[in-house]
Formats: sequence, structure tokens, C-alpha cells
Amino acid sequence: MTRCDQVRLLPSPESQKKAHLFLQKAEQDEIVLAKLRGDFDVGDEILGFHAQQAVEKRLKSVLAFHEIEFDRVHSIAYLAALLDRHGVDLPACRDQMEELTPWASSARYDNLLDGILDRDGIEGVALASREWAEKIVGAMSWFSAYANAFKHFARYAELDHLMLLVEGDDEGAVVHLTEDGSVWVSVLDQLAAFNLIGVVDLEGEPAEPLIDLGEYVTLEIGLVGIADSALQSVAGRQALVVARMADDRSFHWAHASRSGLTNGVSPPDSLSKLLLLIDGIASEPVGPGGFEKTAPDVRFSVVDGVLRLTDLQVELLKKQRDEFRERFGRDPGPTDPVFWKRSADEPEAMTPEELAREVAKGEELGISEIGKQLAAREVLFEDQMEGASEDDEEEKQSPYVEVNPLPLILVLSNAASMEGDLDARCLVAAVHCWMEGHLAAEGHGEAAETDAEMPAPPFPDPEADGDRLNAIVLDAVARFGYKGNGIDAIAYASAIAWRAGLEAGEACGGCAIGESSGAISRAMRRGEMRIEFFPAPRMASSGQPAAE
Amino acid sequence: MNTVTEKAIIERAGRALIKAVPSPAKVISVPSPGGLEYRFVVIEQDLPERHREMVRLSRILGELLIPADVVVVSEVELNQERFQKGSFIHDALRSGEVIAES
Repeated sequence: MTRCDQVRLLPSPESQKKAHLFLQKAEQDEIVLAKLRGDFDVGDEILGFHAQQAVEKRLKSVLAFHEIEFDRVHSIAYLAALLDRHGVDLPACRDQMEELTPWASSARYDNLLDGILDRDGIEGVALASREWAEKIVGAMSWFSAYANAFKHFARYAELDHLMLLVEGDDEGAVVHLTEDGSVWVSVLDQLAAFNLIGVVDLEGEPAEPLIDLGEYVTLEIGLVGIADSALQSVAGRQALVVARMADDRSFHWAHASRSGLTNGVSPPDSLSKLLLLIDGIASEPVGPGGFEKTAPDVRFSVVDGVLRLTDLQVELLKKQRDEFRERFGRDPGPTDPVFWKRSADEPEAMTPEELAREVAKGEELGISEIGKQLAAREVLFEDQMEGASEDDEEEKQSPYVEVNPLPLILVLSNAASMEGDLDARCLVAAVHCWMEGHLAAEGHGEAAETDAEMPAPPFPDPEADGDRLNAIVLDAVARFGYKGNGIDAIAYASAIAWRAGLEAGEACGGCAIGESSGAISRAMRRGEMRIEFFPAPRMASSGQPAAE
Repeated sequence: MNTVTEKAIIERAGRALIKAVPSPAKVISVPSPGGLEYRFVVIEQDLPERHREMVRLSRILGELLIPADVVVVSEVELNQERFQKGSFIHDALRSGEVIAES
């Protein structure tokens, strides 16, 4: 991977900020245009100037986003040619955009200009340039409008981290909240399947609130609102927001997909597990219409796509979990049944009859309704499985055909809470995201499972991939350093390594891990299994870590 | 950008512009206020549609990736304005340099 490739994948926060500033300024020009376009007391040179400025700034925004150097100039033709030369597709109205150039200098040149402005046409040109630039730079007005409110919300809810992920139909995006409280959004075609990595940096004082959240917005409602708004604003497939409380470092999350909203809370030691559960609920694609929970999980009663988990349900689940631990000597995993056969050595789901007996016992304990609900869902699940065709079974067992963001969050979460220097944390994240990328590749799905010793594919090969992996880590640390406790660098390294793993997986000739949703890969994500990889990334020639 | 490079760019722009306009014509390089871009004044004998001509010439320089403003004036305008102190044409003639002529 060349540095240029990486630049295309993820512009630096500075570039994103610059790109977004241009877009914001262009918006002001368009507001003037919209207000004055129908006022014929306002001369063409005034309207023409603002139309030209709106287009010029949007071109400059995209140039900044792609980290292409440009001169301060009003020539639309020059800016467009520069983008064209770097392989950036331009809007269909390029010619009309270029015709606006002379209006930029009308006043400067003693109003020598004699053109007649197409007042009806400029609105369309401005709109097309806006849609084009926002699609590339991803400066969704929703995010920028609510940037400060996000920060106030985080203060009000006493959060210390907020992460937001969005998956679009054909593009991913990056959201970054900078220290000054601004939110920058970038849409990245190359990260399509990788979805969004959102790391909200909550340092620094927010400005006066634009929106007073008051005491009306609870944490849960706020997070669901953010996830849902993000999904709507980018017309995405799914959005996930994860927040960490400042006091007890517990995680709260909300997930929005086209099939509905879910939210929940997880104590700090079980984020991974909860996310894996969401994984099962929300991210199994069923076709172009969206996501559907193909295997209902009784731990979460999803009604009309909305998660409803009452205190009683939580109590019941805790009780079942404690019994599970006592019986099997470990925590229940996401594929373990809630109600298991008492006589079995390994967790095995109860039959409907056994469940009915359990419910009856539950009635004696005063939890009959909960028991019935859970049992009904377990039975429903069993019925569905019994009636499933061979094709369905095959589909159920196949590796993910699309990648959801949750494994990434697990990696981020684990790496963020790790001890050690940033290089080492980035390396761990990169290695594991390499694995996730590999497991997501079509080629991997077609290859056979092998008994190769670790580290073996789907992990990177120490010899063949070592330089590339180290380059990813060093670049990530150089770009972001310890900003946001290093999460930004970790996220970046994860993203690039995921892409590298995907490439490797497409040519997979056989793997030590067969299924993305299998027991080994899930154990890896939970941190229950670890592999020894490189002891540390290689040092720069100075002998010091390259970025710190 | 060093002076040698700047001179080469200006000469290249002059050649491209003079080649693109009907003879007789002149191309004047004018210093920009901030020195951050190139500015050229093209003087043409007949100029029926200035706006269209400015767009056309801007495209020519744009394709060469020369960051420049191009202003086109007719000979009539030139003669009307050249002695009017403070006018753009007066200032351009005073501070600029003819870089191409046909």
C-alpha cells in the first residue's frame, strides 16, 4: 500500500477540517443566493459573485479533502482541471460551473464584465455542486448543525467517549469530533464495507448551547436519537453509537437500522459480549431491503425492531447467567442458550417441554410473564429451525457476506483499554482488524479451513506482511499520536489494516479460522484467545518510535 | 515558487493565450495583489462576447494547471481607460508587462 492509497482512504483530521470549513463558507454564499435570486433590484454581478464563490469553495473543499495542493485562485476551470487530473469525478454541470469564473472578478475589474447571469440556472448549478461536494466530503449539515449540541449532550450525560458508526449502501464514512467541538464527516468509497469509524473527542469546553437539551433528554433517548438521525441523514443501512460513562466507564449504545432501533447498556467488563449480541441481532443481511434478525435471540426481546428489556428481564437474565457460570465454569457466550438442559455436560437448549416446566417453576418465583415471554421466543426459534430448509441452513452457516462494524468496535474497545505504548496498541488493533478484513472477503468464504499454526491466515503473515503492517502502525501514530487517548490512531490503523486483510482474504488459499461467526473468531474478539505476533513495531531509523 | 519557475509559467501562459486569440492581440502579465496567483490581461481588437471569451481562455489555462485570472478587454476600452488614473486598465498597463503579442 502506498502512502497515496492511505491518503485516499482517510484524510487527516486537519484536511477534513479544512474541507469542512470551505463547505460551511460555501453554504453562506448559497444562502445569500437563495435570498436574493428573485430580487431584481440586486444586480447580476452580486448574484454571480456568490454563485461563483459557492462553487469555488466546494471545489476547494474537495481538493482539501483529497489533500491536493492548490493555489488561491478564482478560476473554476483551474480547480476543476486539478481535480480531474487527480482522478476525481466532477459534477455533470462542470461547464456551467466554469462559466461562473468571470463573476468572481467583476468588482475588481471596474465592472468590465458584460455577461448576463442565468438566474434560473445558478440555483441548479449551486445545488449540484453542493450535492457533489457533500457526497465526497460528507459534510452532512446534520452533523455540523449539531456538533455543539453533541458536546453539551456528552457533558450533560457525563460521557468520556462517544463513538458513532454508519454504514451506507455503497460508501462508508468517518466522523470525527475535534477538540474545538466541531464535527467533521467524511464519506469514503474505499471503506464501503467497513462502515464508519466515529471517535468523538470530548475534550475542551463547548460553546454556548445552540440547543438546550435540558433535563428532557435521557442518555438512552439521546443516543437513540443520534443513531437514528445519523442513519437518516446519510440514508445509510445502519448506524451505531457507543458512549462510555465518565464515572464507572460503563458503555451505553444505540443501534439504528432500517428495521428499527435498539439500545442498551453494558457494564465495562462485558461490552464485547453485548456487542456480539447486537451483532447477532442487527447485522445479518437479508437482502437489499435491510437487516433482519434471522435468528431471534431470547436475551433481547426485539418487538417491532425496538429493544425492550425490563428490570425483571434483566434480573432473570442475571440469574440465568449466574447459574450458567456455576454450572459450566465460564460466562455464557452469545450462541449459548438462556435456558439449558440441566443434565447436559455442555450448554444445550431445552426442549419446549422442558421450557414449559421451567416457566412453571418461574411462576412460583413470581417471574411467570418474563419466563413465558422468553420461553415463547425460544420455542419460536426452535420451530423456525426445525422448518428450515437445507438452503437456509447453508446460508446461516456461511461466513458474513457483509461486514458489520461491531468487530471493529471490539478491537477499538480492547485496544483503547490496553496498557502499553500506542505503537503496541495500534499493532494489536491492526492485526485483529486484518483478521476481520480477511474473514469478510469472498475469497476466504470459498477457501477451505486448514490446521495451520498461528499466526496464519486470516492473520497477517509475519514475513510477507510485516513491512506493510508496520507501515500502517507507524503511519497511524504519526498522523494522530495520542489524541483522544490514542483511539484515533487505533481506529485509523484498524481501518487500513482491515482493508489490507480484505485484499489478502480475497486470495485466501485456506485458513486457520473458517467462519467469521464461528467459536474461534468470536473468542478472539472477546479476548479469550490471543496470538503472539510481533513483539513490537519496528523503530524508525533514529531508534525512536516514529511519531512520539 | 522560485522566480525561474514563475517566469516559465508566465511565458507558457502567454504563449497559450496568444495562440488562442485572433491576431492582432496582446497578453499582459499583471502582478496579483497578494502575489498568490497569476493575472493576465488579454487585449483583443474585437470583443463581441467578453464573458464567453474569458471563460474560454480560463479553460485553456486551467487545462495547463496554471492558476490564473484572465481579463479580456477590447482595444477600444483600452484606449478609453488607459489614461484614467485608478482604473484597472491604467494600473494594469503601468504595473504589467507585455509577455506575448501577435
